[in-house]
Amino acid sequence: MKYLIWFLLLLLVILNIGVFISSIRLADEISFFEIETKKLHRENVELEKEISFYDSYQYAASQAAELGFIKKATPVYLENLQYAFKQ
Amino acid sequence: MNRLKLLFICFFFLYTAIITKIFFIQVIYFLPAGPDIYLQINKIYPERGKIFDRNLKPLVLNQNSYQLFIEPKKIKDIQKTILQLSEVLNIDETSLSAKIDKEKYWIALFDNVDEKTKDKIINLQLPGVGLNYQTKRFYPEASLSAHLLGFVGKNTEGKNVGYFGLEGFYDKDLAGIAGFVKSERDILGKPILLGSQDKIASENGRDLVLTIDKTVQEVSKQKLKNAIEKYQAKQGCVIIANPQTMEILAMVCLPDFDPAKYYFFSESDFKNPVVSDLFEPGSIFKPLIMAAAIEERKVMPNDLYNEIGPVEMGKYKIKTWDNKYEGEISMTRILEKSSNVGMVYVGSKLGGSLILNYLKKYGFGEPTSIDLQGEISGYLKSDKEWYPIDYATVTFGQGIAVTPIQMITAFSSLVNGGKLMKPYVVSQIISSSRKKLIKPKLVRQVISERTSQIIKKMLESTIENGEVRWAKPKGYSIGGKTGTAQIPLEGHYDPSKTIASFIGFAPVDKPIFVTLVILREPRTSPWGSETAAPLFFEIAKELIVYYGILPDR
Repeated sequence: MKYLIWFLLLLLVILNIGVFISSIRLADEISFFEIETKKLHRENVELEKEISFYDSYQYAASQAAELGFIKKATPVYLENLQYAFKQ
Repeated sequence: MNRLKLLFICFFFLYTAIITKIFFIQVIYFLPAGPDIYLQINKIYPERGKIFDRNLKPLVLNQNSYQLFIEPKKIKDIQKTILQLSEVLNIDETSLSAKIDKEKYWIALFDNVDEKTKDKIINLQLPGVGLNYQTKRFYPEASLSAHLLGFVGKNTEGKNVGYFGLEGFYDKDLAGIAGFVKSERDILGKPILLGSQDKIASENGRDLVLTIDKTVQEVSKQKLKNAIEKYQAKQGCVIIANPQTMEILAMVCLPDFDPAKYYFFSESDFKNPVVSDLFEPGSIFKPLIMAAAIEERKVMPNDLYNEIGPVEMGKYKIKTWDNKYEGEISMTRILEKSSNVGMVYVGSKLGGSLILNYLKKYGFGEPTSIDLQGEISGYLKSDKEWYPIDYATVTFGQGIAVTPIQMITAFSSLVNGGKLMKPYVVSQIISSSRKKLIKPKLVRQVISERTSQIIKKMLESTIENGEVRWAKPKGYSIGGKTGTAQIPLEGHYDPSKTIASFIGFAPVDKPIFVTLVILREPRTSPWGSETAAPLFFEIAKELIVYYGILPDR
């Protein structure tokens, strides 16, 4: 009987330690996923911003300008440039 | 017995060690004890609602941003910290130093720190320096719809608040509701599972879907910008709406501002002239009076008026714009040649009481209740303040002040079967749990379908037989009216300055769009027919192609 009680006591101690270690591991996981979720949210916001930027007319206009697909006004000189154009 | 004594002594030393440690923690280092020592309460900030155009293309989104803060008590070498931060932030050391008070426990240094700067600060690994996550607005199309959207600024408590336009009008819907998390955490910040965990979820702001078409907005802005440069105007506005429903398809005014950098602009730049500015409409007002007279059967399109010369009213003399008189002309011809004396005749047939009645029916003197912040109601004198000269001048759009949105709303009722519709910009409000649709709203019936058909034909004839030959797209029915209004200045009209305008619609049978173009003080020519009208036709050509409108003439 005495040995049975000691055995049960030992079992409870081991179970308690086991639950405690599991709760620490679980807390670690929760903490990890909290950080990951926030990181993913920030990545999503950044990606949404980039997609909308590349899909915008402003970006298309800037690319068109870079590639030379726009009309550029040529200056009209009111006075002849004597030195530049050697008139 | 010896073993028992040994066990007792071991436990005694163990407990003594524990009590001593607790004594050091709670008394010497003064860490407060109690059930709440591990409890952390964190606010969950909601994400501000986004704004999309009618095709769900984004006009306003959120982007990552950070608030840089320092805890001066935790910084050992403050000079080194200032030096390193000033290099990363690209600001003067003196400016940064001035913001730091060593007596304080926590100081917010800068808001709106971007991702790249944040990564550089983190890499420095400076003690006592931290970053809080925030979001700020991102405008993929820059200032395309600045006046329409408004901007997000701060209030006196440092909280985000929308100002002007949609951000102002729908601020509560866009802001959302913050949530809270109550969680017991250990010293490393990890949750204690056996402790209390409570959460009230935040509610993100509602997204708005507009009636605005981004493509039409872009076209309008480009054309307006070119026109302002070409005609050297001080300011200009273009408003395009669906006259059947009064959904606003485009609304742009220049000069405007950059909503992402609103702090570089003054308050006068933020005001949306479409809803917040008054102007005397001039001749674009004439169809409203003509339609009222036709509705009341006081005149018919083919009735004749003998235009022989100026009309005298007391000390005032009312003339045509070119001082030319054609003798007997029809009501349609009065609109075609924009005859002021002809309109005075129409007004006299209608009578002062009915003129006032129709001005109220058209919605002048009261706000349209469009969903934009900053709308004014305009000004309509009380009945007792009207004199005969006022009734005469109002027939050609002078002596009355209206907002552009009132003008286009009233005009739309002429071409959509006589219905005064409430203008609106937002068609859907979307939350996580539901979608609210906003439908067109009929305010009142102003004129009959019959009168609407008649006035549309007259306005088509005005374009076909107008004084100026415009570059009108061939094969398409377009109706409209030019306007050139003088600007009042201290009790008289400034002869050198005008507001040039044009209001038009197409196709005539069942209009798909109505467009109001206003150019303030164009210098190359004061006339609406030479400035605003060509701008209207340039925009109309683009809209005809965009909407796939088939030729109907």
